[in-house]
Amino acid sequence: MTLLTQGFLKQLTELPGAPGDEGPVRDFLARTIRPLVDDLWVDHIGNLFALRRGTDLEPRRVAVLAHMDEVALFVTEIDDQGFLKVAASGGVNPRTLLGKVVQVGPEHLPGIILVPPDHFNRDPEVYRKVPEIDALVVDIGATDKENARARVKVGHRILFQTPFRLMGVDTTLHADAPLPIQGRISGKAFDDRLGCATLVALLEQAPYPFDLLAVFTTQEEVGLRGALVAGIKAQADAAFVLEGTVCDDLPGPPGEKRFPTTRLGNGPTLTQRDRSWIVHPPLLRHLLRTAQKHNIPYQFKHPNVGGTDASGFARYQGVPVAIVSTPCRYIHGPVSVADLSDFHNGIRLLSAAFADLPSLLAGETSPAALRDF
Amino acid sequence: MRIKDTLKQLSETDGPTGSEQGIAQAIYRLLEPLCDQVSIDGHFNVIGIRQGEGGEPRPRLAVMAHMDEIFLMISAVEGPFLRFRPYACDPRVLIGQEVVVLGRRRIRGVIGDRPPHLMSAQERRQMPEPTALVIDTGLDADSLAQLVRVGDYALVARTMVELLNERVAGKAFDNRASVVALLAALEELQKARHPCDVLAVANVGEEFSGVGARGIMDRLRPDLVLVLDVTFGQQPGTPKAYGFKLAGGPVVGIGPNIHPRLTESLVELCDSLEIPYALEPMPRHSGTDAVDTQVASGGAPTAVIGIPTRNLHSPVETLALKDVRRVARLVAAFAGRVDTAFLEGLRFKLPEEVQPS
Repeated sequence: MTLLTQGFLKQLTELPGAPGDEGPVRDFLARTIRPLVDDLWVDHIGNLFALRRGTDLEPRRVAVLAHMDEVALFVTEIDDQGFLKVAASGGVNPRTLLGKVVQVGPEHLPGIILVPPDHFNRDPEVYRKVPEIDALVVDIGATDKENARARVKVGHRILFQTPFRLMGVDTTLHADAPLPIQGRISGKAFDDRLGCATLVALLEQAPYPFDLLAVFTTQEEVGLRGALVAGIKAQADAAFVLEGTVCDDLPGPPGEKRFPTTRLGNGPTLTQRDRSWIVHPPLLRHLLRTAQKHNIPYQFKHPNVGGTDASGFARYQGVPVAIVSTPCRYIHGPVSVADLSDFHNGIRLLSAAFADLPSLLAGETSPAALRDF
Repeated sequence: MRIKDTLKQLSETDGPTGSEQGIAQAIYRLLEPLCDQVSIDGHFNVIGIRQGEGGEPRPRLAVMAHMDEIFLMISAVEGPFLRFRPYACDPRVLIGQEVVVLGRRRIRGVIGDRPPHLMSAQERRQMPEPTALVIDTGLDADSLAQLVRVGDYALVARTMVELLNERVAGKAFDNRASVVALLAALEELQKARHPCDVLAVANVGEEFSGVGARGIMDRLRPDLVLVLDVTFGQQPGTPKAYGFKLAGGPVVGIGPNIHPRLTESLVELCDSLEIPYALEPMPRHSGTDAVDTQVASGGAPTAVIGIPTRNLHSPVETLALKDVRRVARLVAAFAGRVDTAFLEGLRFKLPEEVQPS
């Protein structure tokens, strides 16, 4: 019996988890993992910690992080006509916003991001301009300001409203059935609920030789603040950050040659260096060797793309960190697409890597060992 | 009939211009209990006839609502991706939408975008051309090639969304909302008397060639034509004179495309029914099937009634259900008024001294 059912991923991705407002995701994860862990707690920035004790006599401590938040919009003002003005909470893709269905505030009120009809604006210069986010308005059906204010307050979060789906010819979901081994899925917030789901799967496969400290972090999308706080307190010997990362393997305009940073279906993604962090070389080498030994596909992401909780978690304590990601197309928009084999292979790679991790962490590095790099 | 449920059903039924068989079948079933006779012609126009109570020859009033919807069409199968062209769809809303491809099977897909992390400043500022976008179905290239070919239709997949205050958002409200108003009007007529024959038409082809409304006039031989269509709702970015308040009642067209006496008559009816209304200035033409029906009918007096709708030509067209109900009441009341004398009153009068002999 696995926790990784179709219904589990549906719930996890469909829950709202705006930066700083991750409560629904945290509660759901806490309920899910409680039977799997020895201890569970929350800190004041909202991070959810869960400890699963290891089998070694004097176990090391390895932190594994995945962030619970997703990019969102934020209500800044309610205008006289009862429309909501918004700002971005995280790096939401502004090209995806016009004409989308969203959910507003704790009541999950349905709303529409208005799109003025193109009949009135044929000037291509203006027409094709991506609207500034502060020029957008959300319509909840209110008749005027008072009517809207009865249901929505400044500071309420606005999230995409996208159902989780299996893609392909037969898209029927079976809530209690395990996730298929292959095939593709679509839905919202794959960045980083797929990381959260990977972490749940790793907890399910515990124990490991070391103490596993699972950290479901907050506020990654607005400056890694959950991970920064967690890194100061966690006292970990090493850390792994699990992500849903960028994938841009689409054909471009006809005739244009592109060099995608990751490709869907080519395996979980390893990072050597991103915009903010250089992955700890011994940990990266360990992941590579594990993948080769167990014949698990993997791919490297282009360097210098994106940033993750790795730099947040390691910033103050210098903990060695590695990053393992599931490539996801169209992240930071209403609907993402991921490949289930990448997702499952990520779990396989990590659980195999965890099995002989302590030998790597024990002791100092000898000058001789350096020659292996 | 519950207006909301019927609108949801019709909105979520596939019916792109040129492939209206599915929506035609759904509307046929809904028309059957409300008409004396219903037929579907070779273009898939659905025509219901309610016989009037007046003596022969009875005036023939056609009430038209187009049932086709805006669409995408597959232009190339490119490996595991599909290229497409939008028709009448506002292309700015397409990125980030779920779609359904009407290939050998009904296949779900999404239209995505490059991650913003990798966009240049220029890319962030400008919407891509629709030709640069692709549909991602999650199928591999071989399966896709077997299931989809160039010329297949695709639609944005959108279930109806209920907002506050009996307002709803969804796809193809242009013009299924008017089809629902037409059905509700026929339902009212079940309880009322109408001297004229009512020809209830859900026609094809409005969003592309107008072939439906134009082509059917010769067979219908209407004496009067009422065209029901959605019109612009008030929202930021819409000029004040052309953006009509949601829940503000029917929008009655005025201008050369409309017989002046009909505009007056509809306005009088709104007043006597105590329903609010607005006038839509149509200085050239109405931008609806009425352009074609006015001419193709041989000049039959034509009028246009609109339902205020936000975000036209997007998958989240938004309207107030109350307006659909009011348009239905207005149409039913109008049908009750059309008799031989009414028709006679529409003739343009010449000065006394030049009366024909």
